[in-house]
Amino acid sequence: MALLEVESLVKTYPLPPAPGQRAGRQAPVLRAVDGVSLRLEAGQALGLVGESGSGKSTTAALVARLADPDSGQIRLDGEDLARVPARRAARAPWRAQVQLVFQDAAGSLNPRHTAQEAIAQPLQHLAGLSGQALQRRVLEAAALAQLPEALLQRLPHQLSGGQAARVGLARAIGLRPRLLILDEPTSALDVSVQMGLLQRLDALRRELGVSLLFVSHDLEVVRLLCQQVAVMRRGRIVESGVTEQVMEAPRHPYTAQLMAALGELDGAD
Amino acid sequence: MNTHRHTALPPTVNPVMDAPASPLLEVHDLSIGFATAPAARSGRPPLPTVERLSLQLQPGQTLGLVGESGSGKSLLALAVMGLLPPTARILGGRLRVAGQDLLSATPAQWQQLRRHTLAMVFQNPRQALNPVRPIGLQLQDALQSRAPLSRAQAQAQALALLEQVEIDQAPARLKAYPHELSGGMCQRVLLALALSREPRLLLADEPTTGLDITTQAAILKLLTRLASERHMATLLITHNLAMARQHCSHLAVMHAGQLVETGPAAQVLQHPLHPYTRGLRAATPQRGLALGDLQAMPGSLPDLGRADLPACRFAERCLQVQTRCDTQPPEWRALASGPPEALHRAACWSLN
Repeated sequence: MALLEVESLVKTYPLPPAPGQRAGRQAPVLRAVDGVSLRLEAGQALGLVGESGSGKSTTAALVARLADPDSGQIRLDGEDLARVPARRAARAPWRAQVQLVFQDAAGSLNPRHTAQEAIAQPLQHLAGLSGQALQRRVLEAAALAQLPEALLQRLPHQLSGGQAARVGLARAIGLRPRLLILDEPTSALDVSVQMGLLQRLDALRRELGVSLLFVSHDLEVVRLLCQQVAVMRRGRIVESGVTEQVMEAPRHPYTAQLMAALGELDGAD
Repeated sequence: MNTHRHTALPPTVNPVMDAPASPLLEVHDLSIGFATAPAARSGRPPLPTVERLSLQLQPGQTLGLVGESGSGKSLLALAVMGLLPPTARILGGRLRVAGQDLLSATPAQWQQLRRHTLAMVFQNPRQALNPVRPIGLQLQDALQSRAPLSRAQAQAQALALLEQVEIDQAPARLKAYPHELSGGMCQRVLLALALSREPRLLLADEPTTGLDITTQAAILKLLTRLASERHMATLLITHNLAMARQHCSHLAVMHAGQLVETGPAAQVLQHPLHPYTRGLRAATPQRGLALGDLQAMPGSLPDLGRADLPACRFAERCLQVQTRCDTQPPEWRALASGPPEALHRAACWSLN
């Protein structure tokens, strides 16, 4: 059994009624996620690729249980997470198993909390830790994210983009989740910083067995980190499979377009 | 009074010296600093953030300015546009566009320059547009500010510009507000606004960062095609090496406010001379390389507010550092002789 099984997930949003439409007619909806199914084995990484508006971030938010799907199942080790409504998911027993890392690392941290406090909060609320045990786990989480201890007393505005990203990672990994959902965590970072973070994520996957659901629009980065890839377009998965195979012989024209957009450092113009 | 910090030091060999007669953009020994509170208290001139930067750009060339965030790329572009923040100070050097000295330009001259010679495309296109005015009217405003046009003429030209930047359903889009357009379309509108100036120099500061990867490629292709058709000079700021390789004829690599390497784009990336350029390349994902093959760059940009920065600001991150890197600014070395536009040079003592 796979760690994560997503089946026929659907999420719609209401659209403003078309001009001149009579009241009482069925309101138009946007099918943001339109029947998505995914499988992620324990200790593996799955890349979810697509353009803005393709529904990849919405899918990630549904799996992370930040939003409620209209229909479909999200099973973690066989347990259907979708049955708990999003507003109660924060207190669900599996909350510590599924953690999130956001794109805007600095923006997703409370500006008035130090790195230490940011990392401690999930450990307090979800693992009930306090005192020395809490302190020990904070240091351990910082070490796992390779966040230097000297930075723990800093506020988000005193951190660089790469350092803030590591605080976000430490916050998520502190609970030792089984599934880490990452929404474009490196797209705003310089290559020099991006590379360090990707290597850290890969090491966490291999050493701790954390599964990664990695949302990105950059196939090159997905290739580095993910064994499996699913390409989304307009709410649907148009192609999926082993990353190397999908990239070598893309079958959907959109995947081919994504490949063509990747630049190369060598070779002719 | 000359406030340049290094006037006492011997001048470095400079890429500008043996260039053809009339580059469109000529930056010579330019230093830019910030009048911070500590600097004001000490009574000394501000420390140079951008230090002794020299480069030039010919009509028709596309120069990619690459380097990590905080390396001073945007600061240079803002200096060329006359848009430096109020606390920034030009500490020395020359800055010319089409032969005109920008550092002594009056506000009236700046207005002329921005209406007829210079144009800039910014990173966040939606923020650069007026949110409460349809884009057609924003284009007409720009067109009418530089030439006396009737409303009908301005409207026709606005439409023509939208068609040139390949916005589909252009006639209908004239009435659209920025929030009704995608990020890629907003960037096309911004490019149309820039083109309405018929500029000779186009500055593009990370014009596609934050856009989808397929949109990025399309926008850059459009930008470089229009630039070459109009024989504009283009300065493209980016931190994406693969993108710079694809769309630029030349590259200039900056680290911590210093220019470290320049040359034809293909050569600079295939045979990087400077250890910093090599480090950037080694950290860039590319086909055929696994995660373990890529190398993270050691260290991070030094704090430019420090008074004790080494002469080569890469020295503390460099694996080939020598003792003189701390005290002597590195000389420029060329890989081979040739016409100036083909020269590939770097400023590093390890090349001696």
